Amino acid sequence: MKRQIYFKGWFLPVVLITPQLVISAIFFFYPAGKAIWWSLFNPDPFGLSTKFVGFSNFIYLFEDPYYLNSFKTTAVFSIWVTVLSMGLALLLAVLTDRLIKSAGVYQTLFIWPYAVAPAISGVLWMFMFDTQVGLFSWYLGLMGWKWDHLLNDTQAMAIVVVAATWSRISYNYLFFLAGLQSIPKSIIEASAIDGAKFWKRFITIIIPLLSPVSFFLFVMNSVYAFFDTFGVIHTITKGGPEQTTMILVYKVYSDGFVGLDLGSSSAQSVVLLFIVGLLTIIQFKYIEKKVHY
Amino acid sequence: MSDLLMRDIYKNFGETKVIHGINIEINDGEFIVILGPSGCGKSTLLRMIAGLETVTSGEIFINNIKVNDVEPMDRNIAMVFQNYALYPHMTVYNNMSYGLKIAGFSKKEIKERVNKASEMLQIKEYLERKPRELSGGQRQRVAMGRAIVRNPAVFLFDEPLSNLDAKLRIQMRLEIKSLQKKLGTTSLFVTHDQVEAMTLADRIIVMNEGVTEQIGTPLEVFETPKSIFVAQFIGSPAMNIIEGSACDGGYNLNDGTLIKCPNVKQKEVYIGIRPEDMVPDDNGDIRLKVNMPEPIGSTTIIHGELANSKIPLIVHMQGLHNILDLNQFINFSVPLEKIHFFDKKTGLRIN
Amino acid sequence: MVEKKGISYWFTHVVLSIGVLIIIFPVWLAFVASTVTNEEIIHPPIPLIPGGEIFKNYSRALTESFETSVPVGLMLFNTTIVALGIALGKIVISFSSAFAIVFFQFPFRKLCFWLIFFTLMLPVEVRILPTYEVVANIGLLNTYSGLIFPLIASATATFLFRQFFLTVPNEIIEAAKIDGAKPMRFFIDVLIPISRVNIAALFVIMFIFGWNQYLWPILMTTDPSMSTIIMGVDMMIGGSDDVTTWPVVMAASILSMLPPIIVVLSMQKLFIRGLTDSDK
Repeated sequence: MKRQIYFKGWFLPVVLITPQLVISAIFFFYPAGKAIWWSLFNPDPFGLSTKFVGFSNFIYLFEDPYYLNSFKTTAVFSIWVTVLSMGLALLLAVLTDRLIKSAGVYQTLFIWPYAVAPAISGVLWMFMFDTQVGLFSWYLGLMGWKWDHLLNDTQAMAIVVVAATWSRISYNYLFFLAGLQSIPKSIIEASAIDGAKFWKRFITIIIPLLSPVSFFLFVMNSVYAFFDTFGVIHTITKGGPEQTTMILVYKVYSDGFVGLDLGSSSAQSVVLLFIVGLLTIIQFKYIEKKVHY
Repeated sequence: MSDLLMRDIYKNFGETKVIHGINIEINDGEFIVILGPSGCGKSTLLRMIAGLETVTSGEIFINNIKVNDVEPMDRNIAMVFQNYALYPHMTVYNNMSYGLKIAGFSKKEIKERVNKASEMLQIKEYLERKPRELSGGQRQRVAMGRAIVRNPAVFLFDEPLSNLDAKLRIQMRLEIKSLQKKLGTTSLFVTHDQVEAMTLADRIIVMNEGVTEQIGTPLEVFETPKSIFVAQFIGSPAMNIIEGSACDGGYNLNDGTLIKCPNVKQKEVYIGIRPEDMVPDDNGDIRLKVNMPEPIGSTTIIHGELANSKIPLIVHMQGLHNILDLNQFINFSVPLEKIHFFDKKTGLRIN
Repeated sequence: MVEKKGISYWFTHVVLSIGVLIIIFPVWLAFVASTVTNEEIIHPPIPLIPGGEIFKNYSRALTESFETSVPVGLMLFNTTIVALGIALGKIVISFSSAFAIVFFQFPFRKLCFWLIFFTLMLPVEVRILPTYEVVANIGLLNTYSGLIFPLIASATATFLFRQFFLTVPNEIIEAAKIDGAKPMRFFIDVLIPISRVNIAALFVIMFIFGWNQYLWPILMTTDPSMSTIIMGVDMMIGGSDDVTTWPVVMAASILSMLPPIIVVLSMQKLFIRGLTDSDK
C-alpha cells in the first residue's frame, strides 16, 4: 500500500466535504431515519394523528399474502431478467469478440440502448403489444392467441421481463466484452494447440476466466431488477393485473403514494433498505476489495 | 560559515526508529553525496532537509537559519526526484516556471530564467512539449531545469539517475558535475551507487542503518575506510575481509598465512585487503587457489580461496590472464601500508 | 480466436446481425410510428417503413400541449437542465469530497468516509416518501432544485475519484509543495487537469442517469410545466377513454432518447470507460 502524502490543515478539507455531507444528511439520512421512524407508527396521511405500533407494521407485512407475493414476484422477475439479459449479452459478446475488424461496429450498435430510459423501454414495448394498436398483439391475434397483458398474468410478467431485459442487454454486453477482451490471447492459443475445440475452450477456459465479471454482473443486475425497473412496471402494467407484476419497489410507491398507507409503505422501505444493504455488502466484500481505509 | 548544518538529528516513523543521531556540516558550494544501501535512511535525511518530513528531534540550519518548522517552499531549496515528478499536463516551459509563477516573479523574469536554464541543459527546443513526449534523459533534464530556475541555496537530488540506462547515467553524471561547478550551488546527492558517489562528490557521507559511518572525501573513504561497512561498500570488487589472530611478528590468518605486522596490539582483528592491492609475487605470503577467473578486458578478476582453507579471496590483477589451469596456485604479496586493520568487535578501523 | 473466413465467420455475422435487428426493432418501429398518421396506427399492422408525416408529427410534439401534458419542447428543456444540473452537481461535490478525503488528515475523516459510503445503500427508491416530505417542507416541489438536489450526493463518483487520486504519484504532490503550491492551488492547477478524462467519462454516465430519471420527477412535479421528457412521454399516453395520438407520442419517445444516444455515441470511448470504472 502506498504511503499517502498529505497537505497540512483541516479547514479546507472540511469546507470541501461539507456539501456532500449536508446534502446526504438532508436528503439521505434524515429521510431514511424518518422512514424507519414511520415504519414503527401508523400515521394517517394528513398528519393529524399517529399511533405507535412497534413492529406490528412489519409483522403485518410478512403475514400479508400480497406482500409475500410481491417478494415472490420480484424474485421471479429478477431471475428472469438477470438470466435473459446476461445470457443474451454473453452470446453477443462472445460472437463480437471473435471478430477483429467489425468488432467496433457491432459494439457501437449494441451499446446505444443503454441511453434509453427503462421507462421509455416500457413505452416502446407497450406500444408493440398494446391491445388495440400493437403490432405483435395484432399478429398474435391473427394466429389465434389473444394477447392482453392487462388481463393475463403470464403475459404481463412476460412483457415486463422482455422490456427490462431489452433495456439491460447493453450494460451486460459491455462488461462481458471487456472481460473477454482482457483474456490474454496467448491462453486461448495455448488451449487451441492443446487441441480444445471452441465449445470445450468456452466451457473450460472462458467461463472460469469470466466468473469475476459474471459475479459482478449478477449482483449489479439484481440491484437493477430490484430498483431501476420501476419505470418499466409503471408504464406497462402498474403492478397489475391484480398485483401479479407488483415488484417490491413498485409496491412501496403504490401503497405509499396511491394507497396513502404511510406505515406500511415505510416498513416496506425499511425492508428494501436491508436488501440493498445486503447487496452492497456483497458487492464490496467479494468484488471490490478496494474499500479499505 | 556553513551553508547547511544538521545537529543531532533523530527521526522516528511512529514506533520505528530510522535515524539515530546524525551530525553534518556542509560548506557553501560543496557537492555532498549521501551514499548507502537501500533502507539506510538517506532519502529520509534528504527529505527532512527539504521539509517533506518532520524532524523528530534535532535541528537543521540552512544559512544559519533554523528551518525545522519552515515550509518546503520557504526554505530556498530545490529538489530533483528519482521519478522526475513532472506535471504531466503542463509543457516543459510551464513545468519549469510553475514555482516561479507562484512566487510572483514577473513574466519577463520567468522567461529569462527558463531560457537560461534550458540552454544550459540543452532542452530549449522542447519547451513547448509535454513530458510524455520526452525520453527519460530529457525528462531528467527538465526536472533539473525546474530546480535551477529557482536559484536555490541548496540543490537536493534523490537518486535522480537510478531510472536511466547505464550509458545515459554516465553521461548525466558528468553533466550534473559540470553544472554544479558552473553554478556553484551547494548540492546534496543521494545514491546507492558508489561509483556515482566517487565521481561526483567533494565529500561523501556513508550511511548505514540510520547512522553515518564516515564523512570524508572520496579518496579518504577509499583509502582509509573507518569501518568494515565502508571498506566493503566502496570499491569494486569489494575488499576482502579476513579474520586474523595475533602471533609472533604479525597476524595469523586462519590457514596459517602470516601477515607481517610490526605493531601487534590487539589479539583478534579483521584484516582488509583490496583485490587490486595484491601483486603477483613468487615469494609472497598470500597463496591463492584459483576457482574462477573473470577476464574483463585489460584486467582479470580471480575468484578463489586462501590456499589452505575455504576462506574466499578475490584478486584483481592487471593484464589479461587466461588461466587455463583451475585449481592452480598463485602467490601474492601486499605492501603493509595497503593493509587495513579493523577491530573485531566494533568493526572500526584500528590503523 | 482467429477470424477465419468460412462457415463460423458467416455464422457469427448472421447471428450478430439478427441481434442488431432485434435490438433496433422497437426503436425503429417507434420511429416509423412517429412518421405516419394516427389512422395508420390504430388500424394495424402499421407499415414498417417511414411515412411522410415526420415534419408534422415532430413539430406537433414539440409545440403542442395535450390534455395531460405540455409541449415536448418545454419538457426537453426541463430535462436538459435537470440532467446537466445532476451531472455537474455530482461531479463538483464528489470531486471536492474525494480531494478532502485523500489528501488531508482532518478530525473524523474516517467517519465522513463511512457516512458517504453508507449513502450507497440509500437509492432514492428506498426513501421516496420521506424524501418527498422533506422536499415539500423546504418548498422545493415543482422546482429544478427539488429535481436536482436529492440526487446529487453520489457515493460512486466520490469513490471513483478517490480511487484515481490514490494513484497520483506522491512526488508530484511533493514537487508542488516545493514549488510553493498551497492545497487549493494544487487542486486547480494540477489535480483538475490530470483528472480531465475521468471527469469527462463520469459526466457522460451521470448525464444519462440524470436524463433518464423517472420515479423522482413523477413524485414531486404536480405542475405539468415542470415535467421532464421521460415522465412526459408516459403522460402523453391517454387513459382508456382518451384517444392517444400515437404518432406524436412516438415522436416524443424518439426525441426523449436522442440526446442521451447522441452523448453515448459521440463520446463512446469515454462512456465505456466511465461505465466500467464507476461500477467496479
